[in-house]
Amino acid sequence: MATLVRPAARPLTSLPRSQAMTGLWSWIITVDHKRIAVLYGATAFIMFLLGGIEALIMRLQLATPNGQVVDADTFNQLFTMHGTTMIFLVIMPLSVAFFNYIVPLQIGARDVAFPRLNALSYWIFLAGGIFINLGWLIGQAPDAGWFGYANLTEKPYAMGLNTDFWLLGLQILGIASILGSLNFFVTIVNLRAPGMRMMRMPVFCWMTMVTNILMLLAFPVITVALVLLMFDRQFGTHFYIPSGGGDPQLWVHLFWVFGHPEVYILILPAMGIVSQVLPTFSRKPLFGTPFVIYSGIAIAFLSFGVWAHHMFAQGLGPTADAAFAFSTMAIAVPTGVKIFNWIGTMYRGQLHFTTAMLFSVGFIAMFIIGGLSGVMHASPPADLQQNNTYFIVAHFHYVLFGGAIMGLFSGIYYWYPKTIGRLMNEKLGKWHFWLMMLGFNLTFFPMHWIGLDGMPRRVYTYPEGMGWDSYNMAETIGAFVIAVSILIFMYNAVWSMRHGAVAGNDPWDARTLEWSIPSPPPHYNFEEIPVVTAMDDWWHKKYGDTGHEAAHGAPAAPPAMAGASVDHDVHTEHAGHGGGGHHIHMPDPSYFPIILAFGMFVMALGVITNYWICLVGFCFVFAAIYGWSFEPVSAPEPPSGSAESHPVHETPRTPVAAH
Amino acid sequence: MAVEAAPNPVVAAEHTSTGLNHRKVLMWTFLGSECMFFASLISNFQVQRGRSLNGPYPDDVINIPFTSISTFSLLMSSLMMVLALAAIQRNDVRGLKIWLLACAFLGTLFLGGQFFEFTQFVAEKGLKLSTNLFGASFFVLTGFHGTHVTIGVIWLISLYFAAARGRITVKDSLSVELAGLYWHFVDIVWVAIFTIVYLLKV
Amino acid sequence: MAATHIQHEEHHPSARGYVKVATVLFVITIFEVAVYYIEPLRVLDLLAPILLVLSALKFCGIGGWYMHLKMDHKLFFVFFAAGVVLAATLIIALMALFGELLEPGKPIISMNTELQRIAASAKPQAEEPATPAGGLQPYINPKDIGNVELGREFWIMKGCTGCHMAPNIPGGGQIGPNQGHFSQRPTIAGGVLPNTPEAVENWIMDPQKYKPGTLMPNLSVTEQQAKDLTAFLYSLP
Repeated sequence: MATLVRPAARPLTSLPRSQAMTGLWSWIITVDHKRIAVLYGATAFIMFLLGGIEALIMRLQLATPNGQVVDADTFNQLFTMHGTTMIFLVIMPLSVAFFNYIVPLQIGARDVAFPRLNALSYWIFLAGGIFINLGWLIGQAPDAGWFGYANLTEKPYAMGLNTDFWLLGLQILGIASILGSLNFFVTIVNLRAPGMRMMRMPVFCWMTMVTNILMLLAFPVITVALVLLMFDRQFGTHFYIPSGGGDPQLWVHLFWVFGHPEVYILILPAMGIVSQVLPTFSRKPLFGTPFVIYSGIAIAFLSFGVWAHHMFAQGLGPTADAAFAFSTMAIAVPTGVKIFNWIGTMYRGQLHFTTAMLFSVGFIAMFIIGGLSGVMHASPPADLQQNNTYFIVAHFHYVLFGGAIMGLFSGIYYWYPKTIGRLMNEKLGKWHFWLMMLGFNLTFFPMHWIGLDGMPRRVYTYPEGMGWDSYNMAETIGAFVIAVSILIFMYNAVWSMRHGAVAGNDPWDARTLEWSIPSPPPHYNFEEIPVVTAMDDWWHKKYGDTGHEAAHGAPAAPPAMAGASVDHDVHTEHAGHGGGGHHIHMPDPSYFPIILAFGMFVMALGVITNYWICLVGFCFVFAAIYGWSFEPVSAPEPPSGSAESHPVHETPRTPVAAH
Repeated sequence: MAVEAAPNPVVAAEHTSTGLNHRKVLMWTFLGSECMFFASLISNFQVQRGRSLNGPYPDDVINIPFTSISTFSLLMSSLMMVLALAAIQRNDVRGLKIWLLACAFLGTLFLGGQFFEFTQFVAEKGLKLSTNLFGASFFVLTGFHGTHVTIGVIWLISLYFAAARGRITVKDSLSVELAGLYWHFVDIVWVAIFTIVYLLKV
Repeated sequence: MAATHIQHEEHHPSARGYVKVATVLFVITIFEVAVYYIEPLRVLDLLAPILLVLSALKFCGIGGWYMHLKMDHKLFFVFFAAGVVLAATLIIALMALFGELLEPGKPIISMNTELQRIAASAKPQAEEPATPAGGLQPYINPKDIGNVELGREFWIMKGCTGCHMAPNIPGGGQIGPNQGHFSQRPTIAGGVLPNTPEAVENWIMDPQKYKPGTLMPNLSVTEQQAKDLTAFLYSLP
């Protein structure tokens, strides 16, 4: 048994360290991965509503030719912020919310490897999200597109603060992403339960790991691109300015070297979710699990080799065009492998069409459509017609909304019972799904036609007589149908918190470890860290190793396992000290993360106002780093004779040999 | 089994899936990510070669002998760093302090050389950030590298003071090792920059 | 076990071993600087490969011995190598895409170079009958102003079509005026300047000077280019 002796020296920071577990303050200083996940999810959802409103206003403007709802300037801000918000402030943080909540539970860990770093990632994300939206307050929201092509973003073309809000906000968000990725990567590498070799790890965790590796390697590139732009704007350099010898093409390359891996960052987590949901509701293991995993790795690897397919209309020349066309078509192959494996999972399964399942199946269907139009863009000659038209808009909304967002909703319906302890209402869920499918397809399918017919992107209006009027009107109606479906979802989410059916540990009779613990999980997750013997370990613990009887439903024998608490049926309303967990000591909360994030926010403000303010912000950052490095993971306790302490990393288990 | 009481939970944290310490895995992963950061800056430098519309050009300002001394300084500081780590792994705190200080000193010498070089470029040669593409690319690349070195020096000095207060013993050698990994990485980046920017200046 | 973990970790080099490594790195650096001064190597284009190899050796020395990659768990090597390999690939790919790989320092996509190349290879203008103007402005033969063909090339290369439409030029934007019948306009720049070749040239070279705040940017046009552009404009039907 391990004992922990606290450091004899007094910690440098003599400010009191709060141990609050309830109340607003506890949320601000929390380092619990489950709470941080909720923070990410809630913030991302609010941003989803914001981005959605931006979309609705655009759709109102475009519903009729020569629309008068907003002027061109405002429209530019709307489409820029809609794209930036949905990508960086919605899909990514929603994915991170799932990483945060589910990965430690699925690998049998008590928390992530660096809980305070986890909190820091959230607060920096919030700082970035607020900062990038500050422009709205002065009517100067970013307006150069979510991809900010130089030299439209340079002075004298972009004299206002719009682009500054954008590039500073994105730099802050980039830091949050990198810090988060470091954390999840180390967590997955190092905190798996005993016996959980890599190939026994749930596919969602695999996709998480791959996504985080992509983030670690791609975000530094956009950071540099943004830094160079910032220097152009603030310090008179000419990196992207032709009259100074620079080249706008450099921005385009650097942006898309980041941008393409970024779109895989957006889709892989949703693919991971679908890979968990489908087997559960088909009562069959995922078909060809190793192939799904290897395909995910292949997609990530190839994603760094296709970026210039966003540049087919830039005049790269035939050699470059051909090379990137080839690699782009190649990357469709592992994607296709995954799709066939998902379909194979459902084939001859005992299908239960819960809302989560509907969204996963919807994901497959919509992603196929989006993927097909994507492969059409892969041909440079074809892309020359499609580029910059609504055909492209159709493509990416099918993969990002029909794909990523629907996959994420699938995850919400699937894991809501685990986090809240109650099931969401299925009837409302189905209304949500079908209305969303209807609205989504009504909005985005006609875009294929008008795109090929020549309607350009990013235009604030279009003339009469182009033949686009009725399609645009239909698309606007579809957008509002989507909005209604989301209102239904929101009502469902709130209603179910009080009135949903009590979930119990394992309402879906699912396959992975998170379903072996109470809903919601106690503060420490697992009373005893499980020992893993197979992929889909929870299923094996319930039903033993006989292969296909799982498809027939009823458990063959009462579950015999170490560590699962199915029999206890503990409904803990509060995290923490219920059941037998009182000997488990989790890391204590800290206020340094939010101070650090605040400092970064102030620094960014300083860049656009006064550099002295930068210095003030830096002081906060520096002080926070210093205080943090001297703050122990857990606050000092009086050493007690009999009680034993188990810090989060010292779990009583035999060390695992490297896989 | 009995695990020795450890004031630093990091030592006991080798009960991980890989048997490797969390913070060490974190540092190596971070360094892998930083490779991409510097790669982007170096790519920019390479792409902007020869495109300056006006001078001063690299030939006019680069002083190989002077920069060689800075390079040697940084290179030798890495030796100091590794000796510092070896010292604390033998529980030789005095040795740790000496070598840490030596490393920080040589690092500061390097920074001094950079600072002198930069001021010379700006004041005497008329090469500023906004002068031409060479100035812009040069200062951004070497500037970010210098910032990384500065952070390293602050880290080393903090470790020195912690050691001086008796807070670092053999059981905390990981803290020194992590600082060392960062420091050596910064040295490696300079190896690349010295070759690409200075020795291959034309 | 944990306490002995550090010692049993791997076979550390001794202090002597580290000094040996340092000496090797030191010597390699001296080589690098020496090689830099050897002219024949530069002429034979061998400087870059030699220096890159030497740097790679130093890289391996620091990474392998100082950072202990050689002696540590191979996972660390994998994490770091992934970053290094991708980094090198990015640098090489971008250099190739910008034409820096085969002929470093000689950009082939730079617009200024392209414009110079066009000017250098300009063919003498064919003698065509001048188009009579038939309007308010006195007739000026465009060829007396500059090279119309070159002007047309510059018009496209400089991106004027981004804002302006012109007869017989495909595409064109609608931010600035359509340049058809250019020679017939009494004034240019929205009434600020008279329509004379000289005024047009000055306007093209520095629009902000004559109309501060105008949307027309300064495109770094040389005087000869401005003349050719003006000739082109005056030739438009």
